[in-house]
Parts: sequence; C-alpha cells; structure tokens
Amino acid sequence: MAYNVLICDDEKDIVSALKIYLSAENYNTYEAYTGKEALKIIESHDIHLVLLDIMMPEMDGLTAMVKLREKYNIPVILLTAKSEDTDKILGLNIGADDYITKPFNPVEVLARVKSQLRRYMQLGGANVKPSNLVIGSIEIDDKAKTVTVDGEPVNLTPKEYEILKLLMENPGQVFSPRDIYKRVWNDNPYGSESTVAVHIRHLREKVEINPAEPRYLKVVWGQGYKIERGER
Amino acid sequence: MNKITHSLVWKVVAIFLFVISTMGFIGGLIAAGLLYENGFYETSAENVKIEMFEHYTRRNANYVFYNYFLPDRWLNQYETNGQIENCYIRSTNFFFTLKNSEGETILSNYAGQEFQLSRTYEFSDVEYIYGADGDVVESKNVTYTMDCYVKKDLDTDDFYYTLDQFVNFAYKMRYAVIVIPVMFLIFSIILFIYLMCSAGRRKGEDKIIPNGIDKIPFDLLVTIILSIVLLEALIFDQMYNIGTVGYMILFSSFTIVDILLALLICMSFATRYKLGGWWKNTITYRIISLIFRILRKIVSAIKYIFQHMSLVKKTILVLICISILEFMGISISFDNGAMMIFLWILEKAILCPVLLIVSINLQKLQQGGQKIAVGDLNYQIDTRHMFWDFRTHGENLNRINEGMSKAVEERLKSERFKTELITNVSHDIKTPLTSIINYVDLIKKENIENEKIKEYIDVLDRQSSRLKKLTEDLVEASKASTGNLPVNMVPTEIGVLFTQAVGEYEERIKNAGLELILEKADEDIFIMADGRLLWRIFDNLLSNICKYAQPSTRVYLNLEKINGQAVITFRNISKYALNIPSEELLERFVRGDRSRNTEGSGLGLSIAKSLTELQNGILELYVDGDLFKVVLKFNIN
Repeated sequence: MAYNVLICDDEKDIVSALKIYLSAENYNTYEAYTGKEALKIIESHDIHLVLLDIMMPEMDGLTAMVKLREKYNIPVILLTAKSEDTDKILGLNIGADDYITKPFNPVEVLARVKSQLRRYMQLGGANVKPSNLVIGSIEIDDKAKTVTVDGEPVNLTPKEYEILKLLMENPGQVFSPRDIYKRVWNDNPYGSESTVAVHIRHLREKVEINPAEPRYLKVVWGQGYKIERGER
Repeated sequence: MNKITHSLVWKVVAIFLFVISTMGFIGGLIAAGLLYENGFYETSAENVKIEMFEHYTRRNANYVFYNYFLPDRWLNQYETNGQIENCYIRSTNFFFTLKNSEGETILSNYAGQEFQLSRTYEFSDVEYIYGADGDVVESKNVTYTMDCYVKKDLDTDDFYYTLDQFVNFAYKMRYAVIVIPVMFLIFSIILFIYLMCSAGRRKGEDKIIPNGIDKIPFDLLVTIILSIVLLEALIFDQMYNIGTVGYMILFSSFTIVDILLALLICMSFATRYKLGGWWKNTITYRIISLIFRILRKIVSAIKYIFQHMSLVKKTILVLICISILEFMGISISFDNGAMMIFLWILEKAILCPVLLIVSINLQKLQQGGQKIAVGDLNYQIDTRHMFWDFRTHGENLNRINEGMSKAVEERLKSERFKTELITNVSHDIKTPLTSIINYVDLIKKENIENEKIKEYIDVLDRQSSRLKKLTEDLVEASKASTGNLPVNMVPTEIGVLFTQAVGEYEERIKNAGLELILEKADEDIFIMADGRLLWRIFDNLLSNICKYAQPSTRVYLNLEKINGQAVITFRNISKYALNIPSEELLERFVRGDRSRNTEGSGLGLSIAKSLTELQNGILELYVDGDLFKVVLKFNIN
C-alpha cells in the first residue's frame, strides 16, 4: 500500500526535491505552500504523514499543526531553519512527532518519514509481547535476543546488546562509562572506559537515524549515557 | 667623644667633678657677695678693716658689759677694781675702760697702750636701793660709758688679728674671687654639656637606652624631686639652732643633693629628648591623650549615629538640640521671660514644620539619587507632595533616570538586534541552501556519463556542505560571544568527558592517521560546567586537530590539577606552518591555512574561547614552532 505524504513548504524547490525523493520510495505525495492549503488537503484527502515547514505565509506551520491536531492523529514532521532547542521543544510540545532542521540531508528525511509511518501504521497499538522492552521505536526481545528499530531488525554485537538492554531497563537514568563497564563486562575498567564510549557510538549509529542528534540514546557530557523515553 | 660619652667611669667622674665645680661656683658667688656686702669693691682695705673692727669692738664692748660686768656686779655686790686680773680678756688686742656716771673708772684693762681705733659706747642700767626689810625703796637710771681701744700692733693672736689677716688677704683676692666662680661656672657648663651628651649612652650600644628613672613619667619625676627640695627647705627652716658650722654643713650637703637632683632631671630629660617624644611619657600627656581618645570615640559614635540616621531624624534631633539651647538662653537672659518664651514658642511652631517639610523633600531626593547611583533605573521619585524647587529637582532626576534607562535599553536592543540579525540572515540562507544540497544530491543520483560534470558536482557537494557548516557556526559564534546562550552549570567530571570524547573521536582520529594519547589523574576531577557546552569546546578542538594535525603524529590530551584548577591541555603537531600569532588564531574567521581551501569556517577556536569564558574558564593558545597547544583552565568545584 502506498502512503500519502503531504509536503508543505513555501519554497517550491524544496517541495519538488522532497517530492522526487519520496516518489522514488513509492510514496504518493501532495503539495501545499501555505498552512491553509495544507489543512484543506488534509481534510479532502486521506493523508498518512505531513512534512510541515514552520515559517510560511498566510498561516505558519505551528498554527496549522495546532488546528490539524484538533481532528487528526497523523504523524507530523516539522521542517525548519530554526535550530534552537526552545523551538524544538515548543514544536514537539504542541504535537509534532519529529523535527528536522534545514538544511537537511534527504536521506535523513526519508529515514524519519519511514520511521514515523511504520510506527503509526504498523505498531500503533499493535501487539507487543509483554516480555519485550520498548522505548519509543526501539524494541528488545530478550528471549530471542533481537532488537528492532521501527520494526526493522538491527544487528548488534553481544556487548552492544547488553549495554542497550541495561540502559533500556533503566530509562532516564544516567550511567557513567565506569558503571556500564562494571555491569556489562563484570570487571573493573582500569582505564578502559573508552571502550564503552566506542561501543556506545557504534550503538548509536545503528539505532539512531541521525547519530549526531540522537532521539533516544543520549550522551550526558561529563556524566555518562542514558536512554530517554523518546520524544512522544 | 663617642667613646667618652659611652663610658660609665667617665660619667661618674664627670658627675663628681660637676658637683664640686658647682659647689665652688656657689661658694665663690657667696664669697663675692659677702665681699661686696662689706664694701671690698668700693673702699680701701683700711676702711673695710675699720668698719669691721668697729663692728667687732661694739660686740666686744657689749660682751664685756652684759656678760661680764653686770652679772659680776649682781653676784658680788659691787666691788671696785681687783677683779680685773680675772677678766676674760687677758691676752687680747682689745682694751676698755668702763666708767660710771661720775667718771670713776670701774673696770679696765687699758694701760695706755698705743691704739689704732678708739670708740666710746654708753650703757644704761637701773639701780635699786633696798630698804631695811629688803624691799625696793627706790630705783634710778645709771649711765656707764666705756672707752674701747684696738691695739695698734695686733700682736696677740685673737679675732682682730685673724680679721686683719683675712681682710688683707681678701682684699688682695677680691677680683680673683669673681674670676674663680666664673671659671667654675664654665667648667660646670662644659661638664654639663658632656653629661647631657652622654645621657642614655651605654658601652657597646649604638642606641639610646633609657634606665629605670627614664621610665618614670617625667612630670611625676619632677614632682618627686621638687617635693624633696621642699622637704629640704622645711628641714633647713627647723634647724636654726645648730650653729654656724652645722648650718654650713647642712647647707652644703643640701646643695650637693640639689645639684645631683637637678642633674638627674636634666640627664633624664636629655635621654628622653634623644629618644624622641619625651612628652609621651608623662602623666599629663597620658591623661590628655586619654581624654582625647574618649572624645574621639564620642565624636565618631555621634558621627556613626548621624550617618545611619535618615535626614528627617537628623533634622528633628538638631531642632530639639537647638531649641533646648535657645530655651536655656532665653530663660537665663530675660527676667520676665514669659512674653519672650511665648514669642519663641510661636516662632518654633512655625519654623519647625517648615523645616521638617523641607527635610522630608530633601530625603526623598536623596533616596532617589542613591537609587540612581546604584543603577536602579526604574526608580521614580514621588514628586506629588513636593513643592517649589524640590519638585523641579525631583522631576529632573526622574528625567535623568528615564534617559539613562532608555540608553541602556537601546544598548541591550542593539546587542540583541545584532544576534538576531545574524540568526535571521543565516536562517534565510539555510532555505536556499537546503534546495542546493537536495538538488546536488538528486543530480548525483542521475546517470551521468561525463566525468567532468561528475567532478564539478563533487565540488558543489563539498562546498554546499561547507556553507552549511559555516552558517551553523556563524550563529553559534554570535550567540556564544554575546552570551546569548543558556548555560546550565552542574558538577561535571572531566575524566568522563575525556572517555566520551575518545569514544566519539576514536574513528576520526584513526582516519586522520593520528594517535591519541590520554594522560589524566586517577582521581575524579569535578568542575562546574555545562556538559553540553564543554563538549562543544572539545568537539571544536578535536575536529580542528583532525583537520589540521600532521598525519602519523601523536595527539596528547592532558588533565592535571594545578593550584586548585583543572588544567586540560590539547597538544598536536600542525600540518601547516603556523606563522600566525596565537592571539590572531583566536579571532573569528582566521584559519591556520591562509589559503582557506580546507573545510571549516575558521570560527572553531573563537567559539571554543567564548564558550570557555561563558563557563568561567580560561582558554589559552600556545604556538611553538609546529607544536600547537590549547590549554583550558577551570576552577575545581
């Protein structure tokens, strides 16, 4: 089944570029250039996902999203040139599912779209095994020792798996590299904490769409690492 | 001189000599005085002698009459002659003939010898005539005359002889008697000067050393010595019956004591004077300074109270004080003061409220001024209840404040505007940049046969990502340098950050052909910092290292604890010759390679420095040949 994706940006070139990428991945695309147009299209078509620019004439992206959220539960990914944390938090608080800052990498946009759609269409309230550990789109099946992100299996080394499991069992809690080494390697690190740091980076590259801006596996600089419950 | 002044023996000798010399002076002075008294300097020796002989002859005559003739007569009931052999004057230069009123000689030792001086004295006596029963029947005045002679040749060794000898001698010496005390005086003065110089000196000491007496308060010492002198005078006064010799001895000894005491005072004073501030060691000075200290305390207390009092309270206090004084003045000066007091109260009743209102106004102005001075630019003086000039002044102050707050606002605004401008401009750049990046990517996906176009597209791809990085850095640099960035300071362990940095950069460093060497202390070092900002600093520095370090060299990352500071050092060997001063490297847009053909914006170091300073740290840069060193210093928590 082809999903319907609405692209809304006042910059036509960006819309066309995104259209090309999404069409190549077999998505049906709809175009809008203002917030009002976007709302109209959403009302008249069965849209599965919205890529929404914030700064637009007539009606900006944030207003449009507030209106959209009054009726619809479809995933919304914000596109904006603003990269401040406060903007990000504001956008996510009023109902965005994800956030991409311009200038973006088309591959990243595709990955995020895919991820959001999979969660919305396939996993939304779907049967999750009770023994499974789930944080956002990451799921660990401890019996099968498998990890899936947005339903797609991810290949982890045993140590990476152990680290991820430790962090996911204690969401929000910060583990120092020493703690992680002691619990995963069952040994004193004696200066080999950087091994943990390297493993974490690898893990992040495998689990996160954009490892430089992780959604779940976060670095608390000068303290350690943690898993956050994810944005929404 | 120095040697002599420091010698105790010399000092004692000098004191001894001084006493003698001074005594000589006094003695000479007395002698000269006596000579003068007796006319040695006015008449000839003969005249002096005659005068003295006359004086002495009168005494002898008195003696003979009262001590010899009269008692003898009372005892022996008048016998004429015959007794003369027993007369006290057997061997003498003094002769006399006592006659009664009838001219009969009663008593005499004169036998017609040659004389050089003769005097006749009259004596009178009362004679009683007794009756048969022994009662006094009659009394009558009897007159006696006595002719006295002084032998011409004073061949007997008696007082006349001595006197004669003395006068002859003294007359000869009469001018010497003046010279000798003068010489004694000069000698005394020299000795005195020496003693003053030597006061307080001691053998083998360069400094002035006070003795026990010098430590007694000076006025107390003077008082003690004056009372000793007074005591002497009292003793002297009581001792009238000890005879001339005893008198002389007493006088001399007292004089010696007085000289010694005077010398003591002078030497002690000299010592004190040399030590400086002689007046300080006096009871008077102590009392006065104590009084002064107390007064100063009182004054400062009053000052303190006044300073910490509001203007209105001060005014009230002063008004009360003045009123009390005035009231007292009026009560004393006017007898029928009822009218005066009434008028005075009336005047006060009008004046006081006016003054109070003035002082309240002044206080408001003062408070307003103070608020402005400490920078409270929103403070407005309440001018509603002010009047006249005060109101104008208050309004002026308010206007100044408004002007100032406007100026401050303007400045803040322009700062904000600058950051906003940079942010907005880069946002506006980002949108077209997104298109460029996307379309370059799309072109790359097309099947392009032309190798040249492929090459060009690679250039576009690289440069557009560089532009992307540049705009991001620009915003960050502007925020970091203006402090327009939230800083969340928490205790941060740098060791952990090191580990994390290694984890993040392990691969990139390896790809750049470098070897990273970590050196850190075993103990955990915590600093107050914002972990995210600290990582941005590390990120910038490490990415610089990856870009600019000479491949196949080592990169050192050091963490030390020096003087309560956490010192983090990044060291690497530069790929390019660093012919730029380290200060310039910290400036924005300056890069190690002048050609600017590598990736990077040239903002990394500048951002790192601003971020370090935002976290109260110091970033220092050292360039030593190709050795490039960045030192971060943070206070340890």
